[in-house]
Amino acid sequence: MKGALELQGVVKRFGQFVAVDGVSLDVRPGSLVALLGPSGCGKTTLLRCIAGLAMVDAGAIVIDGQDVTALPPWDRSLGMVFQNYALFPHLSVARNVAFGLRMRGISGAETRERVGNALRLVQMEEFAERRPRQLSGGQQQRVALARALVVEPPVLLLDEPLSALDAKLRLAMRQELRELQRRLGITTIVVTHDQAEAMAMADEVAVMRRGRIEQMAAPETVYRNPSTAYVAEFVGRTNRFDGVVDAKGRLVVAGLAAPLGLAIATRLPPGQATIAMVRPEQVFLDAADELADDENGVAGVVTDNVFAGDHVEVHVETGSGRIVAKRATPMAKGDTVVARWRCADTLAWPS
Amino acid sequence: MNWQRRRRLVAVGYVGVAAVFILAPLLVVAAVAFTSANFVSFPPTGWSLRWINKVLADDNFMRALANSVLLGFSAALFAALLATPAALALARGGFRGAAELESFLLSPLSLPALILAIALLFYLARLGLAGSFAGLLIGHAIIVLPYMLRTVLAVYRGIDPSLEEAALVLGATPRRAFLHVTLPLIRPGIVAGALLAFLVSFDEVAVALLLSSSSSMTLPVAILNHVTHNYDPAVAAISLVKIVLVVAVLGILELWFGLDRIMLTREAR
Repeated sequence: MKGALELQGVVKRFGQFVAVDGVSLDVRPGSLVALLGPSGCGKTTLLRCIAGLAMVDAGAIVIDGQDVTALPPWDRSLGMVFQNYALFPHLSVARNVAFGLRMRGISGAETRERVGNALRLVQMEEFAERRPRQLSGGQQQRVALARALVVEPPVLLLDEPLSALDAKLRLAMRQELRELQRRLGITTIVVTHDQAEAMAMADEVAVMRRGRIEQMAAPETVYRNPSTAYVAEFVGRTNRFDGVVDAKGRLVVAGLAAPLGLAIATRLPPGQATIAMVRPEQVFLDAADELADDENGVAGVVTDNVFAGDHVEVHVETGSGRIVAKRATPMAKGDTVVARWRCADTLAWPS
Repeated sequence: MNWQRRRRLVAVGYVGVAAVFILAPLLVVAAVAFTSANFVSFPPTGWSLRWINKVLADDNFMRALANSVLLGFSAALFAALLATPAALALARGGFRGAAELESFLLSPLSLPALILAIALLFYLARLGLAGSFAGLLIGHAIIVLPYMLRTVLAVYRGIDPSLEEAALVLGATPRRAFLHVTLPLIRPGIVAGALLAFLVSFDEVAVALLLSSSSSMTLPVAILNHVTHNYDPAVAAISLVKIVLVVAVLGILELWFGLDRIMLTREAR
């Protein structure tokens, strides 16, 4: 199966600034990998390195066993969809899609057939004679996708593919992109800053920070077992506690009456300064004044209810700051509550 | 009367006054060109085509007109060939000194043409090009280059760089990306620049006056010469011929491309 992509210690510098700092990753043929991170983390630069639009300063890029590191973009035969689609405004939809074929010296009947197939794939065949300007954002994206796919590239690169669409269309296109990618079995790299998008689409999520990959794993693993506090905070929401581990392996946090329990697997030595986190959906709230001795959690006062349709985020002010719990129903503001969670649900890292 | 209608009326009135202010002198010239009298007077005392016919049959004027047209085309072509690559490099290059180089290339705009003409007079004489068409062309190419550079730069800076990158990823070599993507997209800028360049050259006096000889004399110089010796309606007639030519060029371009697009007052396409 074609479409194996391998990056080996890729480095890209702009003057003194190291945009990509030794990234290695292995992408299985046919899988979809999301490069996730805040702006400036190097994810787009890394994508441009793969495309050949940025030449790497060190490391290697290997596609299906061929080292393409030194090849210019036009010799790499990849497919790429740009953030703003980059459709040629002076060409019709059909001629946009035919561009890659034309550059490969393919013409006539074969071009017509392949362009027709590609447009059918994205349900745009009726728009073949339109100009890009006459299309909506979603339609332009479909055309951009057809233009990238028509040359049958081993790897498809998508740069923030959904960021220019409105919220509702974004969800629909996300699903559609995912289904199309699975159906074609094409190796795909998606750059995104939207963690929900990355989780929903990708087989594997690579969380990036300052030019490095912080963690690369299946979306569920990244969410449930983030390898660093940075990953945990970037992917999904968390309640954070900074403290020190005591002799019994519990976390002592300034401002809290009782220490917090940690998962058994954490195994941090006593005296270790530690960051602990718990997800809002794992925090349970009850109207009560104080925590029982054998319970794990904190006491606090409800300060706000944020309505989110299918759930309510209840904000609770505690001795060590505000925590958020996800609930089906709101709680009265000003009420004293206890927030509990299982020790096993607590994520912890040395700080 | 509501405020929107009133605003419209004020706008229309203002534009109307401005148009009269600009066009009135030209209409006087046009009227005088058709006089039957032997002298310049307004309003004309009688109507005839004698002065128009006279200048159209005048070898001196017609040779100067041909020189001017040839010079304008050549200067525009030269400017296009020089300024287009310069604009591409300046807009995307980001190299050290790019801003200074751009200012330098645009500097003929702020340099008095007469100073340039005097400098060129010495310089071209040394090269043995004084009085030749080639010398005149060098002078005019320098003068019109900034107009070309500015319009192409403006258009190219408005083009998304990812269009060229998309072409490269799709398998186009830089040469083919330029031919199939960049060039079609900057064409309105080149056409606009060439049009401006032609009009500027067609109207230029100072450099032409100092650098042309009797054989390479341009139309503005010929008109100037004529006026200094004899002030008769032939001046109005040849001026009218010139105006008609310019309007014809603009008319053709309007039909062909749309002037608002060429002048970049409307977004391309």
